[in-house]
Amino acid sequence: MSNVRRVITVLNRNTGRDGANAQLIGAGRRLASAIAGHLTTLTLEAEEAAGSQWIIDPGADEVVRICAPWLSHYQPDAYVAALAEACARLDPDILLLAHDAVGREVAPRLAARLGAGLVTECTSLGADPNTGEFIASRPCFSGKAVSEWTVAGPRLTIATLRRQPVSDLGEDRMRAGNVETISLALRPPLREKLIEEVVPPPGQVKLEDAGVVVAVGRGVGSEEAFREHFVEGLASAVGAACGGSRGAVDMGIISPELQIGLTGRVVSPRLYIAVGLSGSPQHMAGCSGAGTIVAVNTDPQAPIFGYAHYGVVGDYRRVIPSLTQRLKKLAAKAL
Amino acid sequence: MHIVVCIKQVPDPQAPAGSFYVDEAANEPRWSPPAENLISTFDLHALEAAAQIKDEHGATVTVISLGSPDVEVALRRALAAGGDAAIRLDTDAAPDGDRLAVARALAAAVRKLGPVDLVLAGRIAVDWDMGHVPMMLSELLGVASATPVVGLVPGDGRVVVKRLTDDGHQVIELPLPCLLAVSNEINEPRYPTMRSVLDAQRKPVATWTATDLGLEDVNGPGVSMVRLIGRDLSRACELVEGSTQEEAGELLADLLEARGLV
Repeated sequence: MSNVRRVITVLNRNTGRDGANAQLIGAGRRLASAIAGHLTTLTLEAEEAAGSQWIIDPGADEVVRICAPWLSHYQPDAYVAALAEACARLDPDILLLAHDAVGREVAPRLAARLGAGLVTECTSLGADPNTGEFIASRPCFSGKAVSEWTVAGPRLTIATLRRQPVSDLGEDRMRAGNVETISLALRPPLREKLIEEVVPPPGQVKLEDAGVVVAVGRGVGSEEAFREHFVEGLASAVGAACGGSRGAVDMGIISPELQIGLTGRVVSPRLYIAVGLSGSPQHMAGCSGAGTIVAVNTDPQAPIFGYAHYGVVGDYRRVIPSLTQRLKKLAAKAL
Repeated sequence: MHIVVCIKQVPDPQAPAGSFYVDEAANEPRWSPPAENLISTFDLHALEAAAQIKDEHGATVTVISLGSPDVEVALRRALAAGGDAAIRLDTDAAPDGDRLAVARALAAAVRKLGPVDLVLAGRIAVDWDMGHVPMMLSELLGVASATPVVGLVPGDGRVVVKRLTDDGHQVIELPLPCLLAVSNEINEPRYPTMRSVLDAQRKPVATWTATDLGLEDVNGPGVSMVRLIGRDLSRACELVEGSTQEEAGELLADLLEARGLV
C-alpha cells in the first residue's frame, strides 16, 4: 500500500446518477484534494453494472465495484460486511457515505466493527491546512449550534454527509480513472428478512431534490384547505414539492412520510416557503440548509420569523392566493 | 422476555430557542434560564414500546443509563414509565464523549445482565442529535438492528419491524435478540400515575462501575469536538407589508421574482 492517503465514497447504487450521488463524489473529490489524496468511489451491487465514466467525470480517480449476490438489495448485515471487507482490502483513511437511511444504520455499525472514528450528518468536510487532520462540521441541538470534530489519526475515519443544496459539479470529461471489480466470496450471516417495501408513486418530485419546497404547519387547519390552496395552487405555480411539520402530520394535513424535521426528512431547497408553520427547532433542523426561507404566519411572534429571510404577517388564505396568482402572471409574462 | 432500554438524560429540547447559547470559553452549550434535565424524547418512546410489550406479552424491563449520579432522576422516571429495575453506569466514558466508548460500556452491561431478548433505544438523543450509540451497541453485541423503527410486533423468537426508508418504509423481520432504535411515530408515551411514581421509588437502582463491567480500555477512537458555534437565530426577517394582506402576497411575489428565486 502506498503512502498516498485515500478517501473512499460509497455510492447509493439504487439511484445512479442523481443529486445525492453527485454530491458524494464532489465532496469526496474536495476532501481528497484537501489531504493531497486519492479518491476511490465504491459501488455495492449483485453484479457489475455497465458504465463507470459518470463516476469518474466528476472527480473519482478510481471506481471499485464490489459485487456479491447478497448485495442485490440493502440490508445492514450485508452492507456492513461488504464495507468492512472493502476497508480491509483498500485501507482508506476516510470512508464517506450519504447520511440517508443506509448511512444512518451502516456507518455506526461499521465504526464499531472496525474501531473507527465516526462523524455523521456532516455539512462540511475538510482538513486542517497545517496538520492535514480531518475536520468536519455538523449541526447539533436541533440546528441551534454547529460543532466541529476531529479524529485523532492515524486511523480510519467514517463520515456521513448531509444532503446539501444541489450544486454544479464542474464535470471534466477528459478525466481518466481505473475501474476495478471485486467479487466477494464471503457469505456473511444475513439476519434480516424483507416482508414488504413501500415506495412513493413514480413521477413525484422527491422532497430532497426539489428546488422549491412549500411546507405547511398546523396553521393551515385542514387537509381540504391544504388541497385547495397548495396542491393545485402555489406548489404547482412554482414547481414545488410539498411537506410540512409534525403538527401538520398530527392533524392529518399531510401524510407522515412528508414530515420535514429532525424526525423526518432533511431538505435543502433553493427556496423554502413555510405557511402556517410556527418554526419549532425540531422542524427547522430539517430545513436549515435552505437557501432562502419565506414565512407566512398570522402570529408576528412565531419563531419562524427568526429563521425567515422574508415574511408576511397575515392569514395565508388571503396571502397565498394573491401570491400564487401574481407568480403565475409573472411566469406568463416571462414566456 | 427480558427487555433492556437504554436512555440518556438531556436538557429539555423544548426549552425556548432563545435560552440556548454557547459558552465559547468552555466550548459547551448552556441555557439561561437553565433547562430542565429530562429523558431524551425518543427514549421515552422506547420505554413506552417496552411497557406495551410488557402489558401485552409479559416482560422484565431493565433501564440503563450512563452518566453522573444525577441521571438517577431520569432512571427513576423510567421506572415510573414501566421499568422494573435500573442501572447507572459509572465509568470513565462520558455521555457526551466518544460514542464508541459509551457503546462499549453499555454492551458490557447488557452482557452482564445475562440473556436479553430485545434492546430498545431512541433513534437519536435530542441534544447532540447523533444516533451513533444504538447501532454501535448492536454491532458490539453481535445482534441485528434497525433504525428508525416506527412499529414493532414481537413474535416467537422474532420481531416484525416497520422501518422508515428515505421516502417510504419497509416491513422486515429480525430474529431475537436484536436492537431497535425507535422514532416518535411508534407510540404515544403514557403519563406516569401517582401510583407508578411511588412504586418507582421502591424499585432498585444499581450502580455499575468499569470494574463491575470488566472494562479495561474504555477509550474510544479519539473522536473529539474542537469547536461549538452558536447559530445566530436573530436573523432580521424582512417583513413584506401591503395595504391589504392580498397586496402583501402580490408584493411578496414581486420580491421573489426580483431576487431570482422563482
